[in-house]
Amino acid sequence: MSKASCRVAWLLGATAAITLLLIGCAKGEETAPTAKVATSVATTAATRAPAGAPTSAATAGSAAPDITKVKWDSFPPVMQEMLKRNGTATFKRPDPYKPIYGGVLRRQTYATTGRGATLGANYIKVSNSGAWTMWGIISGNLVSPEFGWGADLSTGTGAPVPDLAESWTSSKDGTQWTFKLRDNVFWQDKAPVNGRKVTAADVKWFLDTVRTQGWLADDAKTVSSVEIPDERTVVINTSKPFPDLLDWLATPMMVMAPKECWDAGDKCITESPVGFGAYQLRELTLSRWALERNPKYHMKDRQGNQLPYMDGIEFIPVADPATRDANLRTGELDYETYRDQASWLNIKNSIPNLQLEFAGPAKTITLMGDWLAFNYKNAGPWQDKRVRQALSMAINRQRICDIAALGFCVVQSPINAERDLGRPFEFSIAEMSEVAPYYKYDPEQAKKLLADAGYPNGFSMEVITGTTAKGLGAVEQWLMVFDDWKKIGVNVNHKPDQNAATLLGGGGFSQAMGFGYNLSGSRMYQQAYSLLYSTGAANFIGLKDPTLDQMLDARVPMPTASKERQEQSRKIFDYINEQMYRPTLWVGMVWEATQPWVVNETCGSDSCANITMRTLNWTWLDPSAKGFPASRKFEPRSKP
Amino acid sequence: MTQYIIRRILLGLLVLWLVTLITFFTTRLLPGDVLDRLFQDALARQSTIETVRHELGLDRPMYTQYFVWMGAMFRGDFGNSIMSGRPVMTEIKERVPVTLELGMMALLIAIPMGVLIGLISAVRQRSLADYGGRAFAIVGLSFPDFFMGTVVVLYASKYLGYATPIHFKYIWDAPRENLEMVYIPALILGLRMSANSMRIMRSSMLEVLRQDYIRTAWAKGLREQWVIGRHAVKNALLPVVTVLGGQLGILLGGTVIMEMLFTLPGMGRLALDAVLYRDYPQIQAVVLIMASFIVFTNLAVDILYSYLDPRISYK
Repeated sequence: MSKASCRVAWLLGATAAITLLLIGCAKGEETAPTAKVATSVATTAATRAPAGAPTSAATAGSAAPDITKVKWDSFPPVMQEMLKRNGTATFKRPDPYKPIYGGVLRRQTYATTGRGATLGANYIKVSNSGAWTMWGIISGNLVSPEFGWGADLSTGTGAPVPDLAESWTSSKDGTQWTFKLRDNVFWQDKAPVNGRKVTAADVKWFLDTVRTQGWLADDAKTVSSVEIPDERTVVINTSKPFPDLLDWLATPMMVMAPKECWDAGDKCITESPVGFGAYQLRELTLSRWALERNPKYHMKDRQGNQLPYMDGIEFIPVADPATRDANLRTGELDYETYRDQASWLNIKNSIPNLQLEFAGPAKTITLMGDWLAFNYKNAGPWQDKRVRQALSMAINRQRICDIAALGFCVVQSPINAERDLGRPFEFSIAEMSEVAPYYKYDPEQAKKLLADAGYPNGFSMEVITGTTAKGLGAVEQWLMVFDDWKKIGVNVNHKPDQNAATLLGGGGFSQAMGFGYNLSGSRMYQQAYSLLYSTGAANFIGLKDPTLDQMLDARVPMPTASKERQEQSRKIFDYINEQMYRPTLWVGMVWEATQPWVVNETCGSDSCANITMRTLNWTWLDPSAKGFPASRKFEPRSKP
Repeated sequence: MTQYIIRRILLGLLVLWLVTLITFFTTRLLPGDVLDRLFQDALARQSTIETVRHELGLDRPMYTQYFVWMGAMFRGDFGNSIMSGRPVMTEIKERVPVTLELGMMALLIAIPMGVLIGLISAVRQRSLADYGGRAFAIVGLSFPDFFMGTVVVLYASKYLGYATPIHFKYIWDAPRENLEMVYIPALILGLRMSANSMRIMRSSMLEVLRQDYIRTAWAKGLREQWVIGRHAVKNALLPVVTVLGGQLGILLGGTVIMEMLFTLPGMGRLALDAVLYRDYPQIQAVVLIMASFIVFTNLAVDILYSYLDPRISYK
């Protein structure tokens, strides 16, 4: 070997050695997140109000912190600004409230993607949110939820309000409910019902069908019979007190279809829906679902103005995001939702005149959360609550939220915040860390808990996650969780799986699963019951806790929104947060982008499909608004 | 020739059978199934999922499912779409006109444009026209369809305040609105195809122009139009026809992207949705139809070839 070659070899070797040394040193450092918003994260973190010393709600002898008042200052500043502007309603009430009659709203909808000229599966037999989306606006329920936003509705307690039923009473023992139907409700003037009156027989048929053949049959077990003493009266008998009956009747899945449609075969329900709602189907084609105003709609707004205000709504499936944005820009579309913050930021910058708000009020936020499921049927470290507490405390939720969602997230409460805890909005991560100490980010405490549980060196665990989520809940976010766990010695064997939903439903995961979506969907009143009760309809994790069962059972007969129920709910809340059976991570905010000429529209999105788009009944278009396309101009018609 | 056609048809059927086998089994090997999509809204109990799986016949062995499907197909029954519940052929019939229209328009743009530019480029070799034509071809080949489409969509909306209509209408219902929706994606597809055929036409034409009989024609004093149009073009077209035949398959793939970007409810989009939703009957039918189209189009191209060049005979 020549001298020159030796020198070159030596030089190369030295370079390689130095490089390896540098790599080895760099590995020990925490790598900074590579998100675009790294600088804004730093700014946000610096200005956020401190969480304060956590108090253990479960500590014997100490008063549980009051959670009925939301600590608005505990939210990240970006969220504070928006929340203070609109409160918990996403859009302020138009003032003056002067609806304009006429015009056709144009919306993109994910519900139609892949389905073509059909709503997909029969929504009574099979869960199908695309179908509820349409049926919810084409038909109605016996009672409807009070959405709590929109100009014409009041404070928004979520309590059911009259729809087909104009009034109701319940017996003293809570086992019999009598509903009086309105006299002026008609099916839409389309086959096969051809405009006939809606009667008690329709209600009885529908409820009996749901109870016996519907996918919601489980929920209806408490209903023992339905009687109809006359054509305007429906009596629902329950086997035990069922104060949540009204909530159950008000859920979007309980939107009514006529018997004739059922008898005509699935085609009627899936391709020719007909109901008694504000809008009726005009056309259902490959590229558009067009609805037109129902001239016989039975509802008026509080000023006595006939509803709905618009002449029609078009739902158009636009699959490509660039095309949707282009059509928003040109005014061909009136509405879009964004589930990831990057898209929202992009649209905010590129179409500045759009109205951008959180989708829906706080009540709908619980629909979209991410959480951990453990398989309690199998032995494993998670059977020890200290391990579950440790895993929760090891997760830096705020950091992940800041990176993935620009700080726009809340923590999903295991108990419905608004209905059962008496607070108007969900918890910020900081506030939840105060009221439920095991939500606090404290890796040192987490290590101690693991050591106490007999895992001083940590352990390994298999975790399955889905692969289709974007934004928060995406695989990348779960990887950050697993990184946090690594720091306390918990090593994850991660298995991304497209089949995650079916695996969870079938209990097909052996150890743990990271999952998005609130399983109870819109049955928020059943949230904890459905998910954690030993025989709960959505208890796929195999949990059996007699103490929790007793606490949930004790709550069932308590009147909705009563102080008694609130107190019991608080006990359940504290207990679940102590046990950490199902550690919840975060809920990302969904954004609505609406054109400036769309007035009083909110939560008419697919993200709120679980509570219908019936809010569009109170929406109107203002053709004089800036940017309204000339091709879509209309002459407002006079008030009916 | 008749024997040749029969033989090709039989071979084509064999190819199609292989296509059904490959499509059937590979789609079922994909992770996840249609039930995952059907039940994604609210998690269902395993018993419910199994009931639906049984009703859809998905619990049977794969080979059983295949033979059942093949048997039904021979009776003209391609089954129902799992996602929509409607007959698969109904879904396809609604969408075929859209894709056909898009494809035909793209071809109508690609063929004359590609042939003409290639012709001019060859005849006026090393002139400004030639350089311009070649630059056009390079640009057209360099930029993929999805890029061109996205750029057009975004820039048109941002700088021209224009977006193509999003509510599709068939050409026989509203020709003007239909053309307004289809012409831009057809133009993008056609430009791309014409770039390819332009290059082939140019090189083929250059080769033909160097032939002895062309030199003879010039020597005889024939006019340029006569030499080019009567003697050269027909021979130069042969490779272009071959390439265009092959591009039909690419065209079908390109329509998927254009249909997504421009909200056209065509076969490409149907195929994509079917794959995303693991809608097996839909996937199988769509792939089979597309494969049939390519197989028999290639046969037509080969037959056309023999017409264009009498020296070619199939025995």
